[in-house]
Amino acid sequence: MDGTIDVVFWIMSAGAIVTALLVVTVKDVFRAALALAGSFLSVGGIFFLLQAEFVAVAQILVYVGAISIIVAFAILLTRDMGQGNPTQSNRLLVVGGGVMAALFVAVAGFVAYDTNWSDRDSRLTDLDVTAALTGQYEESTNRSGDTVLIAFTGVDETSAKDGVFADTTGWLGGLLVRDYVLALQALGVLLLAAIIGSIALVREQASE
Amino acid sequence: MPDPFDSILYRYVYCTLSSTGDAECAGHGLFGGGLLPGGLEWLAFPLTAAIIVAALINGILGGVLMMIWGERRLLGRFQGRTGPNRWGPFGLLTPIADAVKTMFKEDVVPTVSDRLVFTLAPIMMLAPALLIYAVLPIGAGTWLADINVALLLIIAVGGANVLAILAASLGSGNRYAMFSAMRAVAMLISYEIPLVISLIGVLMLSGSLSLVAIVDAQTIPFFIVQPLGFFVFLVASMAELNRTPFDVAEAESEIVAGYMTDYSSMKFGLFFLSEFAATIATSGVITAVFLGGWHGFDPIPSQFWFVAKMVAVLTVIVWIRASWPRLRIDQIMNFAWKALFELTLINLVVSGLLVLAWPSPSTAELWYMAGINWVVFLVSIYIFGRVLGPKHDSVRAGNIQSGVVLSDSDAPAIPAGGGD
Repeated sequence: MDGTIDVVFWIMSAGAIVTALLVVTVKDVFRAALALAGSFLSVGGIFFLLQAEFVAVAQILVYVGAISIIVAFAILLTRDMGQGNPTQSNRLLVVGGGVMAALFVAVAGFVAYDTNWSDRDSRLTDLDVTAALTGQYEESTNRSGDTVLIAFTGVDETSAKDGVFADTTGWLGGLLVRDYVLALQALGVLLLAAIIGSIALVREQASE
Repeated sequence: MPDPFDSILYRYVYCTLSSTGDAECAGHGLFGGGLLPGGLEWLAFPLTAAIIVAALINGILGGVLMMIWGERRLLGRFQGRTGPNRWGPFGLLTPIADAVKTMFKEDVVPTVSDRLVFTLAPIMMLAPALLIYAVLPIGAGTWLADINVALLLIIAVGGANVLAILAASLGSGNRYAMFSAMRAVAMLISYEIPLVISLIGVLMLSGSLSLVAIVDAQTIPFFIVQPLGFFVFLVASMAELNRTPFDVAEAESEIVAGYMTDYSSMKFGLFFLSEFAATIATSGVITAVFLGGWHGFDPIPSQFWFVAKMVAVLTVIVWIRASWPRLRIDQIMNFAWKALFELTLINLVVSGLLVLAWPSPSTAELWYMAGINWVVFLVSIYIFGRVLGPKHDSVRAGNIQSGVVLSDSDAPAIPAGGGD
């Protein structure tokens, strides 16, 4: 089973990278939009492989089901753009590309530097892994004194199986409506303001 | 998340191929299990997947053929004619003849079209429809994947067909297709909101997004407990499926066949197939979420109950198609935003309060909830009917004269035994 998952991972990764390259190289704007949707879909597949089902489905729901459609709809409404900008580049290509590459290297480097690679495996004991596999989370402190959510309460080690993870959706939902409810509400208000603002902008003005 | 061996479908096929599934395989699998020779047992997992997918796709194709026949026969009945009856007993072989005819037609690709996108669109339409079956439990233990976000996955992939419609219309470069895409996108995006919110009531009752858990939670079918949610979900799914009261995207009297205008041969066949596959999948979702899934009386196997309930839902869907005329796009949008959206919000608030009063309800408490919900359902439908009824449709109000009825002699003669 592990070998199969590796194969699927490589297919998904290759798909994500190839379609992402197509987005910036294909001349037709609509084809680029479709490639973008394909890229989003591949990333969603990778999330599935990582057992992050909720994130995977949210990725499909939001990116494939909404953002790609808005992009495609914008192309439909601006039909003249359909044939695309013949070069997909301009004078500042090198500058922009350089800035983005530098930012990417900076972020990737920071993550690589900040992650405690050597300590990571040793900190996870067998029982922690068992807790993660069976979903018996509880708030507690780990060995270095930080508050963490992964712990266990009376985990039966035999009930854990490889590749079977707990209900992450319920856990995320709990975080969202309990711990981070203020941020959620603020986002809702922000979206409402954006909708009302856009309606106000496009509303027909009463003729003087 | 339960493990894959909970699915008897998976366990049976896997254990037939490989005996390394150890304790879980004891007593399962054909021919004593372990058919794969030693050294090749890593093939068991991909082979299991391939076998199940092949069986499933063939099952879906058979189901679609049966549904095409059933729908045409039923429509014939509803319209006072016979329906297809020439080829095979009761015309049962007609869909096969249709399929063969479709495949052998000339495959025309318009010169102004974007050939790649034009070809890709039918595939993009079919894939999400098939994906829904991956999480559909068609009987006790008979499912492919029991993931804990199954319902969300169904909603997510159900929304992806908008992209296929956009691709079809932009790919074929046809003005009618363009109109169709505009209508389809406007409609599908509007109806997705009530569709999603109407399910939240069920989620609060079952406490899970997994279809298996939702079926398990239904000691009484949820359409009794959640009448408003059921009604809104049924209507919104009809819109999502582009079926008749809401089929403005392919209104043949206005825009030829909409986004399918330029398609012929098997590309058109794929659109047709995906439409019917999606209809069957949706009836399966309605069965699992609202009609108690595979629950039934004991001597009859659970799979039969599920299929029987699905057929009942499909019959209702065909019935609706036979009974309602096509709505105009402005009526459709008004209905989505002024009626269904508010109804789902009412359902959400009422269900939330009820779940707050009875957390993890027993069967008796579910009946109390059902009583309250039915009162809310009838009252709110009555109020919305009064507020948004035909008198308030501004276009219709001045135009329709009452009592214009065709006399019998005006109706065209019905030919005996024709097709539809």
